[in-house]
Amino acid sequence: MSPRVAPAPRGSRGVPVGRGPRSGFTLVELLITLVLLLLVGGITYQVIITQQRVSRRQAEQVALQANIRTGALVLPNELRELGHGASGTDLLAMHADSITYRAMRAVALACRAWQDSVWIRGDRYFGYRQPVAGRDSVFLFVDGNPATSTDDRWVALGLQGVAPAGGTCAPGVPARRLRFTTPLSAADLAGVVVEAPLRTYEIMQVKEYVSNGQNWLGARSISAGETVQPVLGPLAADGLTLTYRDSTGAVTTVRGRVRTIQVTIRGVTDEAVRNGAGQGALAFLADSLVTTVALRNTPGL
Amino acid sequence: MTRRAESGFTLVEVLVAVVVLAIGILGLVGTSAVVTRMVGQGKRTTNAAQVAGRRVEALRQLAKTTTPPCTALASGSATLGGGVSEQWVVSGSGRSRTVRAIVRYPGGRGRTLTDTVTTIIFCG
Repeated sequence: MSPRVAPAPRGSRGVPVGRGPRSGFTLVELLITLVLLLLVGGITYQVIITQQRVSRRQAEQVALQANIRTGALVLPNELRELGHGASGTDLLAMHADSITYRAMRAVALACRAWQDSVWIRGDRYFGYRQPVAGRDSVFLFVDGNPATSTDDRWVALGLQGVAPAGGTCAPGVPARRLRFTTPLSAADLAGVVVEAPLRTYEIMQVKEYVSNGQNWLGARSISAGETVQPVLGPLAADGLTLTYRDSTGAVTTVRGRVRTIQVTIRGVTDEAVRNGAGQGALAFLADSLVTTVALRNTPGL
Repeated sequence: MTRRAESGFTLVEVLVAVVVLAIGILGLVGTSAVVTRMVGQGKRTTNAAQVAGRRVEALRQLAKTTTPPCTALASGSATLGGGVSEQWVVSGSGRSRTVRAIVRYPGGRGRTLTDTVTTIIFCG
């Protein structure tokens, strides 16, 4: 006896369901769907790739702009305080792609002075940081004859030691002792008045330099014997151009005549990006910014 | 043979869906175009701020070139490349001058934008 098999369900036209014409797609439908899918998939892929390239380009551009803006902010801030005066010029060397200068670090008042050291008031110290022996130097104001200003001068002295004074400038006023590398002459010591101002400074250099095949803006303390440290970058091959101008606006090579410094910073992107709508060739983008700083501590002419 | 309407998507439905998707993707591209324009605008604005800053620094220097100071300061204007123009207005008297540096620069779509920097120069 053969087993009974349930009859297959039948559609309205008596054709088994799952085999009839409604059971799937026709070849034409499938082809149209495939073509549409390919079309939409291809377009979506293109759009996503383009979008990715455009976003990357935008991110690189923004980073590049931020970079050169920082340069246009940092350099003038560093150079603004430079000046020429009784102690000569703060501008020690000037080139198109580097500048060496005395960077002021602090202002203090001396309450006692000896040939080898001074005490400075702890409550009248204004500066970027505390003085560092072996790195900073001191300009001490020597008044000379108080009745005339013609003999006033700033005497440059190296700093050998910085320590608590072991005494006070006045009751309740702490003092710090700054010891000089070479002693003050007796004549200069006689010209140091109570509360004589002094300024600490170090010699800094800002320059464009090459590292790993790329140009960078770097800075170093020559006084501290540092090697150059990166400030920002990457820069273009001629990434930093300094132009020194006198009071008439003419380019000058005489340090003491410099009144304004024009700073041109040219940056490049970190990575190559595609230009246009993401379809162009890979290339590094460049951008530049020009700023000018008038040196604040210079005489008019 | 009969077909029930709900048995799948019709070609028209699929085409409508494709059009809707295309509109969405175009919208995405549109936002990226806006960002690109804004990046370009940021660059022009930065440049305008530098132009104004340069003028202020130049006037600050010019103020010191005479005795008494500030007598050389005067209002003026200049045209730079790239559709950028600047104008500076010096006002006041006595121990200080108020300087306004006004920079006009293209803002895209034919618009002109203005950036103004105001400072006071001490005349000693």
